[in-house]
Amino acid sequence: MLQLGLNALAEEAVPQAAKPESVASAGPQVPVLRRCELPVPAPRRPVQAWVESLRGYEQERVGLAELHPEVFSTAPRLDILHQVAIWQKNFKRISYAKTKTRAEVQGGGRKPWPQKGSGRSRHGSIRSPIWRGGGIAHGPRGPTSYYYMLPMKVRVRGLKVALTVKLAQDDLHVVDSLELPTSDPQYLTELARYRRWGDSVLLVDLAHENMPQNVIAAVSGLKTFNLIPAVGLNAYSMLKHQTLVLTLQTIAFLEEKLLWHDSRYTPLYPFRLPYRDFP
Amino acid sequence: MAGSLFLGAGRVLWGRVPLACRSFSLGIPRMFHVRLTLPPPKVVDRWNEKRAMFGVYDNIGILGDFKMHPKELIKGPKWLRGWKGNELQRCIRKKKMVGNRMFLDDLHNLNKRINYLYKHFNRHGKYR
Repeated sequence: MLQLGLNALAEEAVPQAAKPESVASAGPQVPVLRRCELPVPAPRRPVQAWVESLRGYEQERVGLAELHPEVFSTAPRLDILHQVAIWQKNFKRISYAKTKTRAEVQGGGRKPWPQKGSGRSRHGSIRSPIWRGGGIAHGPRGPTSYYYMLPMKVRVRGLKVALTVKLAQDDLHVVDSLELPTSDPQYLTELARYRRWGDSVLLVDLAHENMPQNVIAAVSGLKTFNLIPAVGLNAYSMLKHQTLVLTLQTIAFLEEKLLWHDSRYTPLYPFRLPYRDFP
Repeated sequence: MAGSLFLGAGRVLWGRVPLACRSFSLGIPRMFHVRLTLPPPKVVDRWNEKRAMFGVYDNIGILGDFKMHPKELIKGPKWLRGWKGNELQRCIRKKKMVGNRMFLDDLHNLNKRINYLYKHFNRHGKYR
């Protein structure tokens, strides 16, 4: 992303991916500008991204948004991202594999033949692990859970790193709102292809209640375009989908939620119990 | 099984031949287990509902005001939701939580398993 002064927005003419510029057909519009609400620590400056619009194919530079550097341009800690992605994959896992031991296999209480005299090797039961049809000595035992939790700050940092990596690799697009002119899934796919977004797009709106109907209808017909509320954002989905599309409200929500952890006290009791000054 | 016959035949061939003289032309025992036709490739839809939406709401705590915890999203047996333990701990927890409504045979096996694991962990092996 190029560093632009907000004042120089009108004169800036460098295209994003060598596409021909085109002015919005409705004539000169006021650009959508967003500044960071939360304080930015002194040596760092906000990182900037174009605000786009989904209303027209070519509305790719409707405004400029400033994103908080601690969330969108933090250190690219791939090891934390890996830890968080593996945690997401495994902590829900419950493996139901189970085998019967020699005590659980039906039968096998009696000694098959006397210890001495028959000429055969000595055995105590027909269900021991060396017998065919016998129990399994060291097999999987019962439903096993692989649950564990990473520290809260590690999970928060994983989200920040994922957002940073998406922005740094030009896979993050900021949109003023997810309103579409039609509810045709074809429109979304054509838009994504024109703007070279990629095969899979993750659209993030703020909450389920205020999602526009057109987007819901368009996305329900597509497999690789998925719509989630801001509460559902996670590193695994960001890595699974090639592009991430956030609205301005979502960005404000995420910044507020993720930056709170940088300067909070350690919990004396779980956060779900009421505190005097939080939320 | 049919395979064991061929294994026996292969071993008979190789047993008599010194290591330096073994060559491909004498036949490979493994050849008998190679299939000549491939099975139809398994078609895996990487973008079905479950795979596309995997991991959504895992951060419901940190992004959702801590009203819910991700361990409440886990679907599974009641004694394993949001908890991890070794086999003895799992058996004890299962007995505590659902032992009163298990089948008699299963409960008996569970008790036997708990006894065995207790003795194993506390009396046998290097770490007790």
